[in-house]
Amino acid sequence: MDLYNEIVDIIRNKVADIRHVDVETLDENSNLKYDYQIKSTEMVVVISALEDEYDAYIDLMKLNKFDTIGEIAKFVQELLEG
Amino acid sequence: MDVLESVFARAEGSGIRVCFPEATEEKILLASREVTDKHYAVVSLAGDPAAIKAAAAQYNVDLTGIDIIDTTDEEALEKAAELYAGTTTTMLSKKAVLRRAKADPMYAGLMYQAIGDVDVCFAGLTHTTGEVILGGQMVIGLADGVSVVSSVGIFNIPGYEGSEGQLLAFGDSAVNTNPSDEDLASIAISCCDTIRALLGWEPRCAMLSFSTDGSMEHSMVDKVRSATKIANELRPDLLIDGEFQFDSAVSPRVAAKKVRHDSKVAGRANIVIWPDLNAGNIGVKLVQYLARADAYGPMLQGFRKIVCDCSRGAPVSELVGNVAMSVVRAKELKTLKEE
Repeated sequence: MDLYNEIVDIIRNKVADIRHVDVETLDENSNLKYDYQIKSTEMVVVISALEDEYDAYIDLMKLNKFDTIGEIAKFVQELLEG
Repeated sequence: MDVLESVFARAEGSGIRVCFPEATEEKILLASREVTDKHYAVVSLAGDPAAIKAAAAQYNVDLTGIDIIDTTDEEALEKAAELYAGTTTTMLSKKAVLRRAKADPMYAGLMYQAIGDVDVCFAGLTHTTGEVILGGQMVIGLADGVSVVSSVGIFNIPGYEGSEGQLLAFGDSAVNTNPSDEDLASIAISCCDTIRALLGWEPRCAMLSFSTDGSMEHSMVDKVRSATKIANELRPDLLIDGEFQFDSAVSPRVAAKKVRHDSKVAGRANIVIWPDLNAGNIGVKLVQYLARADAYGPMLQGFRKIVCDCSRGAPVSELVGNVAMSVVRAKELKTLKEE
């Protein structure tokens, strides 16, 4: 699996945990702010999981402008690939 | 005695520990000195000790009686992160909090606050409000029953004769742009708790709208009505009522005419809740400019512990006032926890 899809999967699983929904209902086009009402406090949990997985620092302030799982994954991928 | 005089009197000798993570800033060093000299709090400066001492020397600030939390001490940070990760309310893993604490003294300060080494974290001179809120949410977390961080302020309005004399509290005029009904309920509850802690008032909180007690029907009114219901269900111990127009909230004469249900808040409100940030921002500026009112705050609220954001342009006197208000709130929070 490539890095982008790996990140998408981590985000999908975390959001499914937080919202108690079937992970299969989530894909890269899922809008976390409007479809799943994920708040910034909940995004902290998602980001913490990504940081632990990749031993990286992700600036949540910069992440605030993205809405979909795909947009977030792309941002994190670019960050990790330097 | 005005609001600040009363707050300063209550802060004096409190023993509350306040951490300043922007410790090389001149205004922070001067405020730390004044807070220490007046015994409002026990001050800790967080950062690189060499840089802090150099800044203190540059600005001619004596650091006697002020602690320094060395955020370059990796062993100490590691130990604190270990303790942090063991707390039940943590949202960040040990690695995630440690990474941030090493990169930014504000996160180190918040981590030490989370594990109980300090009571208040005070930032905002070199961090934006958004960064302070985010840091607080990440490391400290929200108080039980609170769904959003919000703000509360206090007007001192010359010539106003309300239920608390010239004073009137208001929220939220700084953080939530378009709060949902649940968020609005949470804002009202946080405002009541903060104002009771800070000023010792029995809160009477009015949920503001362009409708009073069903005089208008609109989705914007429905939101305020629903928020009032949610707040009452969550905290039946608090006097939160609405929906009211501003005059019905604060004028007994208007309330007697317009409010059809029995209300302990109508006409006597000492806290008003704006329905959104448009109303809040405009409302505060109208009162400040047209009524020549002083507005204290806005103070952040809703965190599990007291996290204070100050304005980047604030003079030292305002910083000291904000520290004292945070100290009084932290003192009350400690008392409540001990009970």
